[in-house]
Amino acid sequence: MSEATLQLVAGDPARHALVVGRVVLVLGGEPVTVEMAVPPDLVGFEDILPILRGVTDFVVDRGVEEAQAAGRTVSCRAGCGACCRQLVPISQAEARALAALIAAMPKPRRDEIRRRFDAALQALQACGLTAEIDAARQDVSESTVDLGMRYFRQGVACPFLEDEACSIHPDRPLSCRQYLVTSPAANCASPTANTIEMVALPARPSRALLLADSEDAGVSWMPLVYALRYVEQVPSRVPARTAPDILRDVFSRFQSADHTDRGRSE
Amino acid sequence: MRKELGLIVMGAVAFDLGTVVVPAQAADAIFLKIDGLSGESNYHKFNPSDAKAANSCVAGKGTLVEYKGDKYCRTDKAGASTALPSSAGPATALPQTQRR
Repeated sequence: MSEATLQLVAGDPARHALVVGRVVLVLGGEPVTVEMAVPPDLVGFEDILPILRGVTDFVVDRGVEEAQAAGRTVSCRAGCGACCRQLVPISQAEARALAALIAAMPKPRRDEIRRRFDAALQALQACGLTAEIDAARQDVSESTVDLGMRYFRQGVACPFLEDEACSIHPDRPLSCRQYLVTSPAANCASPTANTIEMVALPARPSRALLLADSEDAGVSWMPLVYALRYVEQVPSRVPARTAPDILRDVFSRFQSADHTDRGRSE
Repeated sequence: MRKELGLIVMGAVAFDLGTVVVPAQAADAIFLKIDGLSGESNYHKFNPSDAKAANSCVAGKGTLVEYKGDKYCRTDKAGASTALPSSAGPATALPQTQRR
């Protein structure tokens, strides 16, 4: 098999000349050259999300290919939205991207999505989970498995879930892109460690983004349903880094074999 | 394989981030914290810095578990598969080293 090349663009070539660059990712021993075109100005992490989405989709494709080679079949399908009631951790950059996406929607739909975000937050507050989530965001040394399961049991649907399908599929967070299972779809209705078999991936781009972005912004991960509230509280950040600098930071986290990472269950 | 997105014609490379080698499973070595060691399973203690061992455990469908700060690979007595411990969903993708 020849070496894979992935071409990805962040920014509008019609608006300004983009800077092009590349990185070679060696995933599972096989190199993939990622050619990137990015804005030349100082940018925020949200501005390079198109690059990371493309890389994530490629990584997931690789994982799916390996699963299929092992005789396993991905059971995730449109119309099966059980996992869309899970706690989806996103970075502040992803929160900004989602807020911008909602702001660009036609008014009736925008209002409806905002209403769902409000309802989700109220549901979490009513059951006392917001306090637990906030504590977990402050102390990342604690296990989040139990919290994730309690969250799931509340049945708080993602505000973008419609007819049990993702209504923003091309723009969904990296965590959602990475979540695929080969266990029976029915098992996702009541997931446990013993009934769900996930597609193993050769890298975790969502984790790399969360680590780099949270360190840069000083903002911990947040559940997706916090996105609009966060952006209302912190409407903007002044871009202070170039896209190549941010990308170098994020890609370097792909390498992380930092063993302190492993001392905590996920 | 070349995935053509057809978005732009690439010009000269202005920045090169070099080569990033992603260690097999190293970023995925996720340990499920448990409160006790069940008698129904076999637990093999190993050095968590040994990415190869973690990889072998997961590849063999073992489960990486943490008990009282020590790391183990759990397999059931019959050797049957156990799910990866990261199966609780997107929440399991939380970052682990935000405190820097």
